[in-house]
Amino acid sequence: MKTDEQLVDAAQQGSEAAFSELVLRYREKLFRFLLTRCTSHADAEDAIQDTFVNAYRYLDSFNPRWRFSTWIYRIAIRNAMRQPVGVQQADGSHVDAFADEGSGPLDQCIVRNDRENLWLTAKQVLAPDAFTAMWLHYVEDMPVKEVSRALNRSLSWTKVTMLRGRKRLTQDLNREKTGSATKAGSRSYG
Amino acid sequence: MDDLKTRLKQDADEIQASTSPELRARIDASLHAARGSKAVTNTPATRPVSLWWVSSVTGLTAAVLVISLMNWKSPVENETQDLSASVPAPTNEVSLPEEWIPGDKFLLNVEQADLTRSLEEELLNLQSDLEKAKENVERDVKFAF
Repeated sequence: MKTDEQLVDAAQQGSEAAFSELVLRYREKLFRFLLTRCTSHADAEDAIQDTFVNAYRYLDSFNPRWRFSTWIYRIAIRNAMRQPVGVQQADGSHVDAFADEGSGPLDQCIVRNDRENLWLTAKQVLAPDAFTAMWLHYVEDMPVKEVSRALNRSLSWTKVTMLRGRKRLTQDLNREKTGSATKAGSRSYG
Repeated sequence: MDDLKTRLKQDADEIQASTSPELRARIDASLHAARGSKAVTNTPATRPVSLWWVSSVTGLTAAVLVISLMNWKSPVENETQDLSASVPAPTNEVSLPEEWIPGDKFLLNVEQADLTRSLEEELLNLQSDLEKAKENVERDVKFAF
């Protein structure tokens, strides 16, 4: 099986099959990632389309020193940032575009179970870039250095932000555990 | 692997997001369009080389053509000789149009213009100066020896 970089090299030589293989590898992962960044399902669809088109157009400018995953996530983040975040009302107040969709497209895609999805909590309590840093590191298994590159932030910023995010989510996780233990205890003793 | 990491992985797996067939078709179509536009934008990159060759060949051909035409038209000297031959030799006689000649009432005295008189006088002056200088030199030579 060829690596991403080998496929990029082949695509740069003009192989359309190689680029199609890259699209196939990253399509689902990128779409799920973009759902966490965009304000609606339609925006995420537009963003993923633009991401692949931009990647194809600027494939010649790809620097082999980067990982392909870092590069394409960087493009995806840029495209997600271009999507409208909300609607500016006449009185100047700002209303989220997905106000009628609950917590946005992410909320709609989550399989419901008895506990709260931690990513939904993260979406509410963390800043967008902090959320993305956590996602890229813990879900896409991207090293911290690559995360900082994808976000176009300094390495120290990324480390500090991830540490804070981790602390914050650990607190929520512990609170949830304590709460469920209390509930279980109350049930057993109730 | 710590609890948080495990939990984040699990919760991410619970996010069921897959691209619809329509979205895949959209992506494929936009990539197809991008391939077309990229091919079109790549075409001019080869154009300057071919244009360079064409312009060079055209320039050379034009230069050769101009040079050959110049050489073909070169008997200019012969033409100038012919022209000089066709020009009549100057004559001393002056012919006036008939309407200028009033007939019996008025006689027009026409004199030949003497354009060389001043030069001839100058020549005579120079010759006399030369003779005087010669006499002076001879006299000085006689005194010396």
